Amino acid sequence: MSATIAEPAQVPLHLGDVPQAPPRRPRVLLIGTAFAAAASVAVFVGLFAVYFSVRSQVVADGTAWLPGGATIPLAPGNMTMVTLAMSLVTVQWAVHAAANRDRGHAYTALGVTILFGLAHITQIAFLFTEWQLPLNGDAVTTQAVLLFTILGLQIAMTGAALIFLGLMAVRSLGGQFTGPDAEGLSAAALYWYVTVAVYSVIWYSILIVK
Amino acid sequence: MTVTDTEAPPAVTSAAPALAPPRPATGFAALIGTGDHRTIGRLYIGTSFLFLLASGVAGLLLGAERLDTSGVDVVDVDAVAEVFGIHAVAGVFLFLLPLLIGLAIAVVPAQVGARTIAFPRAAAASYWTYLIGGGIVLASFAADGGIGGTDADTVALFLAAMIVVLASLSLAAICIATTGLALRTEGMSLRRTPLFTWSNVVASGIWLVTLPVLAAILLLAYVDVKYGPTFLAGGDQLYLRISWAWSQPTVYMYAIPVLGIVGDIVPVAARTRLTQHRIALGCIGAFAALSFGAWAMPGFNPSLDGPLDLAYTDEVPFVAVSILILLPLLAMAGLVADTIRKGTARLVSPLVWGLAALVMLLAGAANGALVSIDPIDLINTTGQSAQTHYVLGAATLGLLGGIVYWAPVLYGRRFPEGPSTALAAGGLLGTIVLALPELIAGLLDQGALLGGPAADASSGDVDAIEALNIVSLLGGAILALVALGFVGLLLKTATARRDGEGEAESDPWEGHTLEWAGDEPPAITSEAPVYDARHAEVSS
Repeated sequence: MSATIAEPAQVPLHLGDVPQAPPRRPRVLLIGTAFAAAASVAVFVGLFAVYFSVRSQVVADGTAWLPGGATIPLAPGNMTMVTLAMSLVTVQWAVHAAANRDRGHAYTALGVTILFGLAHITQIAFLFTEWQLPLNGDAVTTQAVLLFTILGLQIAMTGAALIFLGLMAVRSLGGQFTGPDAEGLSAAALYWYVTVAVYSVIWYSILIVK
Repeated sequence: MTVTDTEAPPAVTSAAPALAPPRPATGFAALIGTGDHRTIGRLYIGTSFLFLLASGVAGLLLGAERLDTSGVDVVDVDAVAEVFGIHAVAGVFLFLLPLLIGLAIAVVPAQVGARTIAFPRAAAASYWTYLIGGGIVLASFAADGGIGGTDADTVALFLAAMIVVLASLSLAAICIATTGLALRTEGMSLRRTPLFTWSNVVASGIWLVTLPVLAAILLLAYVDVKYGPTFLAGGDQLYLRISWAWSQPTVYMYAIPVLGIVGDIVPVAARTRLTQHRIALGCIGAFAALSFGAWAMPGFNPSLDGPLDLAYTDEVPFVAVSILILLPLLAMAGLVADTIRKGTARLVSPLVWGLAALVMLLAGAANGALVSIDPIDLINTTGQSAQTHYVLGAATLGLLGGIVYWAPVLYGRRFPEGPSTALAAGGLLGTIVLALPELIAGLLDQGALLGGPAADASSGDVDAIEALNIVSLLGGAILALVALGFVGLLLKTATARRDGEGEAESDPWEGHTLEWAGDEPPAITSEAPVYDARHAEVSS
């Protein structure tokens, strides 16, 4: 006996019957953060322009860039670069965890990132005490003005990035940005990447090259 | 075990007085707490005109100072740099840029079909920060601070306040750019974006990579004044360090939205579509890209001994940008002319303002090209001031035209046509009479900063220069009258709805874009959806 296998009935597919996916919420915060990050970078570009302009003239005159007695120790700058490099991993870990609704990992990663950020601030503050470039009294030099301004502003930028991360952590606690809507954390992470990128330029071109 | 039953309290059955909803704030409280983009835009517009007063008075004083080139008579010698500073700083950062931002905050969300601007509280915060920062900037000038000031504390106060102002304007620019990019309604691709919105998106981008560079210089100057050897902010050095922000090529960035305003007004006035909308988008983008000029800031020296390095004015990028920027302007002018030719143009007042702005912008770009040609030798002469006045005058004319055009959106009433057209003509005349004599005096070697002619100018030249300076001052006076007249019309228009005067007109021009669509916006099928919908109705 031969069995006849009936072909499955063809069900016509009406694309019009498929409910439309809800429109994606516009990525307002991410785009706004990208603009803010661009503006922050522009501030540092302006500062670097002045720094390198002044430095090149001093060096061209045949004098050493750093005034006598001043030194920039390598250890704090290198350590903080390594710290911030590790924070790049942890902040991306936080974004990934939030996108997968893994609150435990998201909070752990955010906490570690914030810890790394605070460590960066304290290490730069330590560097300020070590480099023998006073910013008060009569012996203030142009070099001190430039170095304190650039690194001080980078610390301020790090502080702003930490506040942003902290705010997004709190909002995630409320469930506003978990899962597919992890835009807030992505925005905070973007600003964090830019903060680290700015420091990496400072680290190489100012602290290493001197 | 004893069980104690506790009786539940009786249910409240009597009608308890319902909590009244909180009364909406009114008056000043409502103003402080507002996140409404139209209100914030109107606040920006109104406040910027207040700051124009300071810049205008300083400009007239400088013009009067140039009447006699043999010495400094009208203004105290020590105060010349401060008067220059007030004129430039208040004119650009407290008047023109906030006016641009105010109009954009009010109009851009409506143009892209958004209910509000992106980050409305940030936009409101930017206004209040600008207001406070701007007030402190002027106060610091009055207290011997500011550019050319001698009191270190008030100079530092000026620098800090300027940084605050720049930060607030940058914040507002972020809100505008984000609105244009992220809050466009369904169907409105970037290619279908109205030109005013597009021009504000690209202008905001340029502002956001330029204003922070200026803020960085001011921050360094602040630390320098407070703690350092004053290598940046001593004497008149500060003016020279930051004057690139209103000089060629940076000065063009304040005029980017003007191209968008003209591009929106002209097709409406001509009752047709703009010829080649996409090319217009490209022209505005190219103009914006060429207006980025933070690279042209002068070189820095570690001490006051060395001269300021202005070598960039001889270099290829400066010359190339100065000449190339004419191309997008000429292309835009061609599109405008073609649109007017193909349509049936009405000579409405916004069109007069817009065309006046475009003509002045072309004149400014031509002047800028002359400045960049080394043998003509216009660097550091009033020929450069003329270029700045042409471009900033064009930006102002365009913006005032924009306010006239969008007054029904902003204030629910339209400006009276006759007086508005007369003011537009007066603005055009005033700008020409102000700037053209400066250019000619520049060709006769009149110095830009302190007004006097170069030491080697002949006596005949000096007489000619003084005569030209009289004409130029007359142009400034005409512009002052135009500004006063415009403020009067603005006040009348803004208060007309409150006083119940005139008729509310939601779309007096038969506009093409979404801000004129009313409560039922049409589907976006082109860059002129309201125009499309109107014509579809007519043809059906």
